[in-house]
Amino acid sequence: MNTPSMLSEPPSRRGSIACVGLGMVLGSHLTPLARSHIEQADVIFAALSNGIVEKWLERMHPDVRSLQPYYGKGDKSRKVTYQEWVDVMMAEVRKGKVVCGVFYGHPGVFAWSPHAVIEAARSEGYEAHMEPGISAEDCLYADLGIDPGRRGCQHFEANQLLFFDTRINTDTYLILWQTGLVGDRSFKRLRTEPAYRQLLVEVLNKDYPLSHEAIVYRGATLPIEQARVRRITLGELPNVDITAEETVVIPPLSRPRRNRAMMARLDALDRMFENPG
Amino acid sequence: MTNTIELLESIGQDASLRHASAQDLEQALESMHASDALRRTARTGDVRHVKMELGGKDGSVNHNPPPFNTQTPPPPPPPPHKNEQA
Repeated sequence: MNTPSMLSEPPSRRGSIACVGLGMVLGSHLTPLARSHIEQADVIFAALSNGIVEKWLERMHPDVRSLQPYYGKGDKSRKVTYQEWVDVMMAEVRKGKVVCGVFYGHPGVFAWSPHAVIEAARSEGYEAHMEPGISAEDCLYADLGIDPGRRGCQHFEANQLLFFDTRINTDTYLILWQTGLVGDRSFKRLRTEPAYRQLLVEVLNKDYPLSHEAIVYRGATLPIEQARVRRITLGELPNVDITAEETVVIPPLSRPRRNRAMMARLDALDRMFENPG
Repeated sequence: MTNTIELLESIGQDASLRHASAQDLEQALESMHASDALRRTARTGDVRHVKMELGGKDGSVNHNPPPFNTQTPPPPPPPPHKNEQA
């Protein structure tokens, strides 16, 4: 039974963090639940696609702190920046604040800090939660008319194909993120030269002819914009201007081969279960 | 002149405007008393106009991580000592 003194004691305030996605297009993609997280938080940290979207967020909450200034000007590794984002958000959680990290797109897709801050908060006993958002990947499927369930779909950060021996399945769509800065090992640059993309093409050319189609895609972030879609060949990839926000899509080259042995086993199972006894 | 952020939010939530033709969008923006910069952006597709209007603050963010496994793998363990092999 509670004593009067216990009842009168205010509940201890525990910090918490929710990382939410703002979606890609201003005004179009924010979910009701993500908006509620934003409105109910004590403090907002924001990593968004541009300053206009940040101004939109500022209309939803009086204390929006941009994570943008933590980037260096080509002199600081993004690994350092991302850790700083985690540190600055955790500092407020430890003060007992209800913190909301707002990230463009989906907070957990191709984003290191939201996962890291949630892990850090939970390891210290704080409540932490991620709320999905509409990602660039989602927009890409809609704008290019790709259903990843039809042929399969492989996604790689483009560097993965250069830094590691990566097996590519040419039966599926191949989607390469951050091709515009492929080959940057300093994690400081926002763009790399055509010679770096040439190395990527060399890797891809082991599986695809240079005449194979490559689609350079950039989703819209403002509702008065449309997606930008450029269709080129793989061989042209080094010589077209590609920004960090653009994604390269390589359509399937081959058709999947039927697994006859497995089909025979499925036939046997069907016979067993469709005609028992 | 109507607030540009408010207008952008309205357009983003309006099915008839979000994918309207440039001409239809421009007419709609005119009737909404949109700023010159917003109308120019809708007409040309160049978002720099509206960015300038809102203080020139751009700064697109790249919060993608480098591949998580870029560290040099640890060296292989030393070969076992002769005595241990025996």
